[in-house]
Amino acid sequence: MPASGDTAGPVAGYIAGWRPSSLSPQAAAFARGVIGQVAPEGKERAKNLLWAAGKLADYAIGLGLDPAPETVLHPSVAERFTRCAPGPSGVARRTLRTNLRFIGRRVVPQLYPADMPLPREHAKQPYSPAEIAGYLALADAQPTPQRRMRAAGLVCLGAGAGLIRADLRAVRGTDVICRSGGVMVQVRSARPRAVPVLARYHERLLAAARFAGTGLVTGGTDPGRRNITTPLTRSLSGGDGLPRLDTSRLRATWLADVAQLLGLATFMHAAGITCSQRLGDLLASLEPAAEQDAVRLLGAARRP
Amino acid sequence: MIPLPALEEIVDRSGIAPRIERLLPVGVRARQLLVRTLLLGMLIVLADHRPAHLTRVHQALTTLPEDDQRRLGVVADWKHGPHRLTYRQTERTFGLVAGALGKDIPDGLPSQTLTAICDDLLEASIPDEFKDASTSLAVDWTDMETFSRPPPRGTSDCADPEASWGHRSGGGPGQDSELFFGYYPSAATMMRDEHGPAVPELARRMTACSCRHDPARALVPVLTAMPEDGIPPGDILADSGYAHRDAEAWAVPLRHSGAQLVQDLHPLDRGPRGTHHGAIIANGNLYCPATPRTLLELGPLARDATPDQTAAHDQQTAETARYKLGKITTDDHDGYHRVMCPAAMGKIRCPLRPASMKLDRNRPEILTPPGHPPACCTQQTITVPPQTCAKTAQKHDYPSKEHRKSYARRTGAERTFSTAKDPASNNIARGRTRLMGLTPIMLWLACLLAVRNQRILTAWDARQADDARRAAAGLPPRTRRRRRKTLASLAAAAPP
Repeated sequence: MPASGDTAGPVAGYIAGWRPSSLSPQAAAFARGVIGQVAPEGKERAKNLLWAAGKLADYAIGLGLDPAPETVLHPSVAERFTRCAPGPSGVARRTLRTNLRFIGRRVVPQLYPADMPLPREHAKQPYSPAEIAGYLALADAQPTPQRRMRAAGLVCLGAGAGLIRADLRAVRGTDVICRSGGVMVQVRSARPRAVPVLARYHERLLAAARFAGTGLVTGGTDPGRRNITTPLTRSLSGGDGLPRLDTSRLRATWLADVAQLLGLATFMHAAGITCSQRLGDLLASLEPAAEQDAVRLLGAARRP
Repeated sequence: MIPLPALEEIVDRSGIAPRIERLLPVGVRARQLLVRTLLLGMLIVLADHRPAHLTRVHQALTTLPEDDQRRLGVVADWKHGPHRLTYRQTERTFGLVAGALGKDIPDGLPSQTLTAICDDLLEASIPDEFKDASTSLAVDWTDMETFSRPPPRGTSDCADPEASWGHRSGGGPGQDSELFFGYYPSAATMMRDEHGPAVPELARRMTACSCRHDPARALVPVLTAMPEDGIPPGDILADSGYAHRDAEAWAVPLRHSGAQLVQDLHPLDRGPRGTHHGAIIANGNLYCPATPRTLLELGPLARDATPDQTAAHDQQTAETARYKLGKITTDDHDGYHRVMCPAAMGKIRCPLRPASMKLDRNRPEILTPPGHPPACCTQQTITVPPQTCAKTAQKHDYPSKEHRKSYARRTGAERTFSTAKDPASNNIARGRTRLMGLTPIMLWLACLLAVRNQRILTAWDARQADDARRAAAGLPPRTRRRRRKTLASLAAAAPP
């Protein structure tokens, strides 16, 4: 960004001549003044910033505020404008707020201290099939039958049904059932649901469930104990260069496998979207498929 | 034409005739013209749109039907036969009445007796069904020239020594004001209450005073005496001519009597006018010391404002109300009350009130609080004595939307005087009455307003009947035609 208020020729000329009829002359003069300091790179950008500053100034002057940058561009005034000013649509309000913050950071930086950057948590890396096979082999190598079954159950519930935390700890042997042509896990936690289990984990999970009976698949007696799976994960780490087992990565593995089955990457690529927020909004109006369809779609059908 | 029985009912219901009669001297021979008949004659003259001359009273009485003349004593049996009322008798009785109701030493103000007589006559002209219909009164004064010529410069010798020089708005183009020689009549007209149903605009109280006296001060005792007559105090709608008076002359006595003022403020009384414990005194309220100056200097909306201008003005006045120190108690016996900081009330965000900064940003924020906070910023509440805003405090924030809507009712006072100055019916222009002195003029004015009330009632009844007829036909009430074309629209439509 240029340090001074000088802008390139045509843009500066556009800013100097900007006098919309829908804004008061005082508001337009304010907008020209502050956008001259911002020095936008193009004419289109200058127009958008001029509109944002002009609308804000018109609103602030109407409320009796002094048309000075320190007053009009104050975060509280800009925030009140974007929230309460009559007229703009929701999309326009978001755009106005973004543009006004941009202007404020350049014209009155003392009122807009920059945020300290913090690392962003990305999705966990899924395990490769070889790593999953390694963990299952480690489970089979446990010294006692109880630990062998619990360790296998842990890996199968995580990578085969995507269960973590309370969902995982609360699963009992009787919650693993053969139904609708596949194997399902009945989740009874805060978000109760039936989750189809990927076909390649059926045998091991069913064995672990039979062994647990009415008890917890991952062991223990109280599912409220948060560290109940800690001894299991500790016992499954260190062998063959495998890292310590992470249930979040097991879930990421399940999500990746199911997304692959559904062709999710193909769909989002075709739709031209990279974030799932809009999909979440759309899902609010859609009904999930029946259990048989879910078993088929999510790769949980039992092999004949 | 108002029928004679209706006029007789007004005079009898008021009970003023026997009271005046008792004030008159009793001679050896009974007076032929009774006060009741004299008052009826005055009302008949005005109801018939005739000038307020005693000759017209005599003429009106002597042209009544024979039976009515005998019943009213216009024709009496004397020892030599029937005797018809003479003009001299009319003039004599009127002179006695004026003398009895006037002050021993006329000073340009009405006596208490005269004021009470006029109040009762006007009150009797209001039907019982409308007596409790409203407590709001629109008040105003107007000019009334005396028939007397003004005294030569430097002297006070004239036929009407009670009259004096006064100011009135000039009627000519470019004429701001002019002098006249006479009196200031005042009237209080019934208007609908806020959010109440429409009522006929009847003149309920009146007075008059010489122009050497303040008409606002002259009207105050008339209005403050109304609660004693069983009429509860309500809204008093007045223009800036009243509001600009000293607080002790207008606002304080009315507020003390329980009335609520809705008035325009004089330009010299608008805007910031000092502080109280750091809070800014403006337009009858206390405001946060960090209130934007432009909000405090807002004036009333122009009469020709466009809808956009009106909306912008309403937005600004609503914003101003957020900075107002809110009243949290009613006035105590001594007139004191307490107000609270707007940030403490949650109306604005202020760094001096940390709790208020937790409120969402749907409120104004004080960007630069005072460096040395005054008491209104350090205390939760402050006490406001009655002398603060004594002159300008009123029912609604000035000049808010609520005030504008409420104050719009004041125009009824103008309509009252326009009907009293209508050359097609009654008129108080110079020469319409040739009687001089405050007492005769006030008596005629009271009769004029009583007759005018009857006309208003007749028009009201006709409009109610019309509304009912239209409602039966599924039509809305007839409304006044609005101006559809303005000069600006015609100019815009004109070809280039």
